[in-house]
Amino acid sequence: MRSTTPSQDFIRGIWVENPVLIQMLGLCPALAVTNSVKNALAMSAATFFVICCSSVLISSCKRFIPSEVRIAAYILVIASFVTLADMLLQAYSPVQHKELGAFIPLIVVNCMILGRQEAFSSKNNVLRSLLDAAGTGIGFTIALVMMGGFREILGTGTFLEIPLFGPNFEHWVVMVLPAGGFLTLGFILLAMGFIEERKKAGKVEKAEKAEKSS
Amino acid sequence: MTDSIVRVTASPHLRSTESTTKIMWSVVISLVPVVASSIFFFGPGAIFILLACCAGCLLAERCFGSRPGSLADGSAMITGLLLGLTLPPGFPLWMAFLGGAFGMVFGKIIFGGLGQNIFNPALVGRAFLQAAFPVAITTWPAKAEHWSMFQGDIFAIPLFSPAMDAVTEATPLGNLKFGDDPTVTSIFDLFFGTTGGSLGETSALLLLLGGLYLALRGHLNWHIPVSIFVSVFLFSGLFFTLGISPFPPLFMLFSGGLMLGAIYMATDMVTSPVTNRGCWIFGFGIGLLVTLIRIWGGLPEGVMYAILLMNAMVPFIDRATQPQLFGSAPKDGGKEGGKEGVRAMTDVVRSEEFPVPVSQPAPEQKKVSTFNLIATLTIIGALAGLLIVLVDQHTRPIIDKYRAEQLQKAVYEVLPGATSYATYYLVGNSLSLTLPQAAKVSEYKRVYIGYDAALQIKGVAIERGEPGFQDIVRLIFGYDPHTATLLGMKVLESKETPGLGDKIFKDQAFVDQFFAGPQPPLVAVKAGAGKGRPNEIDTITGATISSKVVIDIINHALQEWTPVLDQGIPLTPPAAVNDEAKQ
Amino acid sequence: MSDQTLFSIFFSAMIVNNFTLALFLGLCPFMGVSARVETALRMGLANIFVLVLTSLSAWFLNTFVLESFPFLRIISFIIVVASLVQIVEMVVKKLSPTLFRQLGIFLPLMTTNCAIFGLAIFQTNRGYGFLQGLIFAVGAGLGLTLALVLMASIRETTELSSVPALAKGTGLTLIIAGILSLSFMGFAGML
Repeated sequence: MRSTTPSQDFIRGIWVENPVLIQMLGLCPALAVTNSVKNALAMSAATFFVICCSSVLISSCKRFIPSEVRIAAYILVIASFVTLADMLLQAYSPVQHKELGAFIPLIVVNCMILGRQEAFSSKNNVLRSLLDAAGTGIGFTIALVMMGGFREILGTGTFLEIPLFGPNFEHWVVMVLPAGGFLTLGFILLAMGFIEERKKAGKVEKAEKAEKSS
Repeated sequence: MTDSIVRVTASPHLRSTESTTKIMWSVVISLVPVVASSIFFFGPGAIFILLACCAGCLLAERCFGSRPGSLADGSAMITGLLLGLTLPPGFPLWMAFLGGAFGMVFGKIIFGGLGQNIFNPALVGRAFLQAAFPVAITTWPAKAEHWSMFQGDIFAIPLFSPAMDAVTEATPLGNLKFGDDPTVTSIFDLFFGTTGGSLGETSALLLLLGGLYLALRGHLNWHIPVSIFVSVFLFSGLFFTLGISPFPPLFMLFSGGLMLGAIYMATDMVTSPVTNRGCWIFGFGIGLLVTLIRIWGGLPEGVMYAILLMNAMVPFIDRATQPQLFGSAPKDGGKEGGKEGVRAMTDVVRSEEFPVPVSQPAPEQKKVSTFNLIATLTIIGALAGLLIVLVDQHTRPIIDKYRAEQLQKAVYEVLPGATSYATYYLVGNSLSLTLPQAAKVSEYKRVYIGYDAALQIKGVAIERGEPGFQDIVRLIFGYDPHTATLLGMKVLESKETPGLGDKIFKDQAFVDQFFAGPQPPLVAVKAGAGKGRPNEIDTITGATISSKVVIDIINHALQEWTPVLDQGIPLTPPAAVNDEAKQ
Repeated sequence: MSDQTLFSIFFSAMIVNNFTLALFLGLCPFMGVSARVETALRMGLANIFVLVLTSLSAWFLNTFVLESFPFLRIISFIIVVASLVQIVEMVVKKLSPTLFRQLGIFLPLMTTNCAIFGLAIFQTNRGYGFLQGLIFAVGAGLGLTLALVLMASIRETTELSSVPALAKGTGLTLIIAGILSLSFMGFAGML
């Protein structure tokens, strides 16, 4: 049995083990569809759907899947849900579907989903798997919205298509181009690293102070 | 303990008078004539732009630089000056500052500082500015009435757009490439700098003098500029004599940023190859790329990109041209690095029984029959298939309906007045309503014939896609075969540059031209320069390529379809019109 | 059938819309590739091989099977990709055990490589025919190899630099990728 509590399973996917920013999984969609917040949310929603459904299904059937073919089985399940997501999105939100283009089917090869099945859902009960999947999905969403927000605010001066700065804001066109995706994610990682360093430096200072006073 | 009579120091014992700082400052000195000329030609605004770039670089170095005292070595100053010299007069100061800071941080500091960067920091800043503010950086304001006046809107509020001058002047390169009356600016003008252009590009003479000064002092590897000049001359000469390029070789050499780039950017000691042989490869690569981009690329200037791309190849060139040390084996390349992303994934994949190629003894497990394995997969597959089929039954009608609606909307938009349409396929050489038995619909080209309420033919709507500036542009247009005029145009798919190329569907004035009955084959003319002929279409300023793509698509489509249409079009609608377009 | 010429498909896939630097496919090997140019080169070549096979299979499936069952596209494509990678693995193991060991973990990882699956999807979306699809695959593979080799050679050099701690690893790789992407923008409009 796992040594973590259910709530820990849920929370850890959100930030500490964030799939995009910490584990560096699922980079293809993270860079490709984050040129606006709307696209980022749509992709996150589709991925959330796929990861939760797959986790639940695989967790409930884990006894029946022989070990030799488990990767193939997981991929089949994930691919089916991706197909469903693709069809539903195309039917009910065709404009968004066109924007996301080929990247909806590419959810299938998002290492993050397969990783959760392999590492967690295949070994835990349904409720925990669902929590784990949901946490990971939320973490994915947070990462994508961060990137999408950054790129959209600078690249088109809007957030969710609401203009923020008035008509004379000079758009940073590069942000909505592919180069902007790389630079944005790189910048976010650098910022996170910088904050980490500051924290560490702060801890070291505190420890030194404690030593001096003791 | 007696005082030591002999002074003991570690080697080296003979020091050259050179130091990094000295070299850097000598480069700054060599740039003084060019800077002076930029003020002479473009007014006091030039010095503000240069100072803004330097400020950005110096501030970045001060805040983020890893080595104390790194400000004094002059490298930040050079980056700032060089970046500024590539900018047009009238460039907003806040953008110049941003470019300087970006170039320093992401082109140098992040690689570890002086001596460790791969890309030329000034060019990194310039490339960023080009991508971020494409309109501002390709706007060269016309010469001001009086020398002391500021050109452009250099004091624009940070983060806000600069006011656009009504009158702009094309650079010699831009004029020859995109202009309506292309003239080759005289070499005399280019050499002495009495032309338009960016701040430091204009006077070839002063740049060459500066380069000569550095070469004589030994601070510049002359192999690089010479190889660049030779290769540009050779390649452009070749293409010019073959008639495929309008640029004479001398023009190529002296126009645009080639002089500045070849003498000051490409020769940056850190980002250029170590051996002379490598430098010649480097120079030839730059020359070739500059020629190709200038002749065929979408932008007027290619020096920046050519140098950056070759910078990326320098590690490769260095490895390839490494002289082999006598008596040693070729150096081993680098070490295997385990990176977090792969590690995470390998954790996924390397778990116990995944078919990892490394042979490990598989842990003992209960033998499962093959039948069991296949059965499980089949059951999962069947269940998945069932679920998918169910959802498909539900969603397919919705999707098809939407698609048909969009197509109908597009057809009616480009054939004003049409209320119904029929799809005709190209079978063999003529139009046919039906396809041969068991034919794949997607393999056949098609057109849509629109009819009005009185069931009279309105025109033919044709769809086509071709590569644009960024990616494929797809559009549909309406054509009246009897009067041989266009009826309308609608862009269906476009990934052109936001703010520039996307004007092909956002600029109403541009789109409206296609509804005014122009006569193909269409000819692109610069806005305002047309002669009012019926086949002229005004291009969008700043988006010439994208505009031309739209025109090309229509011309090519009609080239393809006119022979077929001339054979005769069914004038009356068939019995079953407005069928849902089969996909 | 798309209206694009073969040359423009090839040049676009390799340079102007480079699979990695413009379309963000194939990022996993791109980020994680060890700083060795030889490995990157071999990885790239293996990718080209699998890409060409994938293109053929995708065309075959699209033409003969999926017209009637379009909703099975994603599932059938991923099965094909996974099987192809497995087959290539076995072939490489037989023919060149050294290459096999050098590629190591990267071979099975090609299953989740967005580039291979992405190629099948893009080919379908753009409606490429048989020859167009093949040229597309070759161009995409060469572009991928180019990006991998450039990144590997740059990384080799920066391994020895004093990169600030917070940028080490993926941060720096992403910035380098961004600058490479900016540089490749010079080819825009070339077709």
